[in-house]
Amino acid sequence: MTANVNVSEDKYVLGSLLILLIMLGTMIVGGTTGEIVFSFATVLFFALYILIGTQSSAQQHSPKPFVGLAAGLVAILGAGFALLWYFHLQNPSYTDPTYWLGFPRATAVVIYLIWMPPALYLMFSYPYLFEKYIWNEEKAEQFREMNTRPAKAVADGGDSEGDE
Amino acid sequence: MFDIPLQTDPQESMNLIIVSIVVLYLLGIAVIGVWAARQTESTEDFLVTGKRFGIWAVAFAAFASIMSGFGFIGGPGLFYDGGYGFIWIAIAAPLAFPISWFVLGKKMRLMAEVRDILTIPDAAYARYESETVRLLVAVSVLLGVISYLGVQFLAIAFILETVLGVSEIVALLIGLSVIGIYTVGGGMIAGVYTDLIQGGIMVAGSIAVFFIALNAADGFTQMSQDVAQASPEYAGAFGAFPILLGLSWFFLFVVGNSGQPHMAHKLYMIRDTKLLKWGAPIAALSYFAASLMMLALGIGMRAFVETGRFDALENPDLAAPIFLVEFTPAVLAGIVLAAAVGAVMSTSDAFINIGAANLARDIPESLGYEYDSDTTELRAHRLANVLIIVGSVLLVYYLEILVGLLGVVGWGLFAAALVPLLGVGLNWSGATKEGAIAAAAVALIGNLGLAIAVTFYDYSLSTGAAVEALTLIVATIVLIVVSLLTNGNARDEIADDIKSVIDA
Repeated sequence: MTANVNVSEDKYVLGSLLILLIMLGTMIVGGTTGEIVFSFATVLFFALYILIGTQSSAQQHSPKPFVGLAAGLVAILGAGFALLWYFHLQNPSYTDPTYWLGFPRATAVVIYLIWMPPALYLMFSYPYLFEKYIWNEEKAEQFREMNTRPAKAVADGGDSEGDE
Repeated sequence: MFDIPLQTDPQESMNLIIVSIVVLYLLGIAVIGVWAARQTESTEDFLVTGKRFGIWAVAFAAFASIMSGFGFIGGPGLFYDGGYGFIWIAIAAPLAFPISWFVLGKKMRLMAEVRDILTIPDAAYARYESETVRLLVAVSVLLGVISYLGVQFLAIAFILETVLGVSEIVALLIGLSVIGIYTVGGGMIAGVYTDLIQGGIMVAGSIAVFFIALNAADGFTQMSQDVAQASPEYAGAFGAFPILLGLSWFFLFVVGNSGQPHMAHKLYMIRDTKLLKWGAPIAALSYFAASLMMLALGIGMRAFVETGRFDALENPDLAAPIFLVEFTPAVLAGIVLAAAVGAVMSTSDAFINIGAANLARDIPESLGYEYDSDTTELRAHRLANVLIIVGSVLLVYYLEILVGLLGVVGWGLFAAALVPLLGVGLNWSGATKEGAIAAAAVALIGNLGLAIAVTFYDYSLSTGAAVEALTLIVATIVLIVVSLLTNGNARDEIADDIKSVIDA
């Protein structure tokens, strides 16, 4: 059996595999350290999932905007979780907490930093990158020229027999 | 500051204005269904609207179907029940939509460009050229659809029973009649048009209710302090839930969004790929507005109960209806309750169509059956819609245990099956047929096994993490590891047109 690995093409997938194994371990082991590791591993997985999803665009143009995009997401969410854990562990029972903008500090970090800033960053990055890196007229023309085929058609034009 | 009454029976407070708005809304939806039935001439029209819609319709339809009755009724109930801990699900969608757009937006639309792809199992088949993959995905989707529909039907009965003051069975029949008219007749054309209207109402209503709730509870600080009276942890970042439950929910609901067929399926329907550009902000900001309402309304109701200004609720799901009838003007309460009905209906119509497509197209085709004409297939889809509605109702009332069982893993069943196969597989040419079969089998067996363990043996992970997140992680690991060790239909073996989508 030949291994199906191409390190340069598969780097983000391999990175995701490593992160998912760490997440699996921390879900089973638990504990405060496990919870902290799980939260940061989740952030890294989000970034890697986006990099997997944009790898084809990165190969055609440049990986820089997408690596930058992922790094920005990691920075925002990473800072959010760092602050969340800092304030949460200072007062895990939330007895007489210090309030920030209407919430105990750790809750305020979730509401004001983890909720919308990373979402706003990503949702407006998409249209910002769209025409230059994600979809343009040249690609559209290429797909318009392809004749739509039935769902079962294969490359050589024959009908698939399924698995065998 | 509002005068707060000490009664908690919403039916007593439903006035004619509220009831009239909800009834008018139901009639309006039924009229759209009749009109859309005349527009539906082919199976493609029925299943993917003939790829005719712009981004507002598609993004609102994606938002509305993800929102569902869970968002409008269950969400405030969970905030009421567990304090701020539920925030980890509520905050997921605004981040999840742009991630789904980056990972799947272009790929799903292009799959529908290069092949006659109308369903999610169609896309899985085209990518892996495997009837086994198609069958496993179809069965996973069908089981997920049954669980979701069961819950949605109960939700619609709950809302209409509360608003109209009729019995549960009459409420269910009214709701199903309207859903039946527009899904059986108008298919996804009716579904998307109604979603567009429903989505707009949901967003506007949510923003208004958020500010009313904030005002009624004297602002966030007072609300948080009131909630903390019962237990300080209610106001904490993880509420009354285990920490790993909140964190694993966040992971599951962000990443799992791209594996929800009722979301991913909408991406087929857009008129032109370039229209995808603004879809992520529209869907994400719409959900943000709705989740603000969930938070303020659920926590607000909990604050009223903790301070003795309201009796404890018999059922947390009553948090939203009670707040609306007690604190909002009747017209707004009627509009928002109509939006809640709309949220349930938009999710229901998406699942009815997806489930019917499984019955009429995916499962027969994976077993080798093909229709002799499009007209016959369209007729079969309409019949399958009726069967799905009737079958789901019978399951709700006669096989409640099955609905409860599948309801445990509804979102997770979709996520574990589709995130690895499509989210990863449509972007990574190294994903193999063998990897896809193994991952789909793990997702299906793992989720059903865990559902049985949770339901019958009271199983839970000792760390408190969500079992659905566990199956999503394991299924993705399995796809990657098995793919690295096998070669079927990967890299150069992928059909040219599908490879062009992966490389696009």
